[in-house]
Amino acid sequence: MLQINKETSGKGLVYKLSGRLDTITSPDLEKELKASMDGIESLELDLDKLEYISSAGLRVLLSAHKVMSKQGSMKVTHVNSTISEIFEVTGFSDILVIE
Amino acid sequence: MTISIYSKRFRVHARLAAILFVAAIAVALMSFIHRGPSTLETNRVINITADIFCMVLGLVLFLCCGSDTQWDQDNLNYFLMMIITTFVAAFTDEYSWLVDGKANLIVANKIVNTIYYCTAPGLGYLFWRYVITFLNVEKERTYKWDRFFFIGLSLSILLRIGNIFFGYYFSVDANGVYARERFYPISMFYGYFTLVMTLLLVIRARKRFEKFQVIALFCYALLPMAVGILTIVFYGLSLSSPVIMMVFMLMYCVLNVVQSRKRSVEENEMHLATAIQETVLPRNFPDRTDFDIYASMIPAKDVGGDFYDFFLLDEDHLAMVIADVSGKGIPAALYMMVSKTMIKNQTMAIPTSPSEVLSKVNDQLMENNTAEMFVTAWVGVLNLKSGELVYANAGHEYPVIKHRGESYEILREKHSPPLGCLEDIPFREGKMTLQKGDVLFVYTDGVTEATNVDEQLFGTDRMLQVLNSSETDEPVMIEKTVREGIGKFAHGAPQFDDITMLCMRYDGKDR
Repeated sequence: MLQINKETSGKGLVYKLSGRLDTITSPDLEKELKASMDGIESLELDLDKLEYISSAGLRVLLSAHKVMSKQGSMKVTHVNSTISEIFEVTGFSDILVIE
Repeated sequence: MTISIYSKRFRVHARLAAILFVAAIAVALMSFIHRGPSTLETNRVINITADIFCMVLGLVLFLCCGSDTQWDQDNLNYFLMMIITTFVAAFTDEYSWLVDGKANLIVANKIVNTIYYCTAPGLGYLFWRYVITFLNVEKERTYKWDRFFFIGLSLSILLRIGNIFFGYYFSVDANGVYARERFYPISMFYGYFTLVMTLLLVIRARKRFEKFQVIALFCYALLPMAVGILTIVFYGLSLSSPVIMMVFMLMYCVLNVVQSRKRSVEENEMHLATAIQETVLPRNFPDRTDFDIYASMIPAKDVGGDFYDFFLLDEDHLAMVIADVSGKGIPAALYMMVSKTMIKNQTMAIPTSPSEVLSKVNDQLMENNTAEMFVTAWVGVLNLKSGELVYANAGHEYPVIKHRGESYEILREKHSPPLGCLEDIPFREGKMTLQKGDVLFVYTDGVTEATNVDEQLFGTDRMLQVLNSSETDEPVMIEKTVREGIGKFAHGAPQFDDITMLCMRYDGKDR
């Protein structure tokens, strides 16, 4: 299960994710992002409550990162130790802006 | 009016409709028996029996379609609505025969006949929508016709309501006897017009149908029309609804044949894809004294995105690769074939530096990466003489190493990003020296992220435990131990990701 909470403020967009971002749930996030990213200049993904992220989830973050690097910026925040280790292992810590 | 056939709402609706169907059939049968079949004329008995048969057939078809998941949803909805409408037609037709000639049931006679008259234009309209949704034509292109047919339908129904008061299509006299009126043939106009127009569309788009489908669609339009024309001439038999229901049966069978044929072709292609993918993963494990190697890939679907590879660069250098393409199925498998070829070619070209191999492959993958796929990969080159292992890791799982006489341990080192993510990035390179008897174990996340029924992950700790429980350090046995360990842990839970392992023991050259 994945819960996606969305907060918009002008050209900024904040998503709070909780649960598991895996093969089954990542299409939901991908769809949501695709529908909302138009004209957004700053995207923040708050991963505080995210329990797990699989390679399918990483792919969604990567494609969001690619889109945002053209039209603004994207950062991930409140990365907990589990997710941080996955970012470390997969080398995503070198790609994403993590705060 | 689209309800997903997977949704709960649909199932509730379908069940409710089925119950209504059964109830209607029961009511129809009981009224028939109550009226007394022996007191009725032969033609009425024939009509009524045919109508009841039609209703039963409708129920069966409805249940079959509802449990069939291979339909396009919009298309299925229209087909179901056509069945329901025909069912209603049969029901009202039966009743109109039962109440005919009963002076005390004039109102009922008028109502059932009016409903019966409404079903014909309804069926014409639904047939049009059914063909349109089957062809999947964009809304804009048929919008005008859609509107036209819809207005026609509304008009037809209004005219039928008007008939109750003015009696231009049919009338029921003071004795309760039904009779067709002067303008009866006009009431058929809309239904036949939509049928003809839809058939013209079918002819225009015939290439998109199978031969049998065209025949079935023509039967749908022409057979009832023939029956209709017959009843204009000979009043007394009304067999349109049973005939239509039979045609639905035919359409349903044709559709099933077509789709199961298509599916078997797809399955066949999938088997071929699986076979091709198996051939690109090396299965000949060389029989050598200086090292022993074994590897396996168990795809979660028919084809996978994981791969392993190993090959000798020369007599003294062994290259090993393990990788995982994001995603699954055919797209991942195609990407896997490309990446595997690139990595092998680049490793042959630059045998001394896995990190350069990865950055070359990364550049190549980035050139045209619109699919937003990425690949995590570990590439290592082992000098079989000295035991020196040079490796680079693009976002792949940490390797596991066991020094002779010690236990398995994870080799934690900072990774580089996966391949296909960012352009022009350098890749880190690591070096270590293996001693004789050391074992290297690399794997994909299918191992660590194997899930059991309680949604727990296999994890690296369990993996190490299982590895350490292995009694031998024969690579083939180690792979087997881990595979069995995962199987035991998953305990029948479905495998979500490809499971790939490569295990190598270094035995060294005797100098």
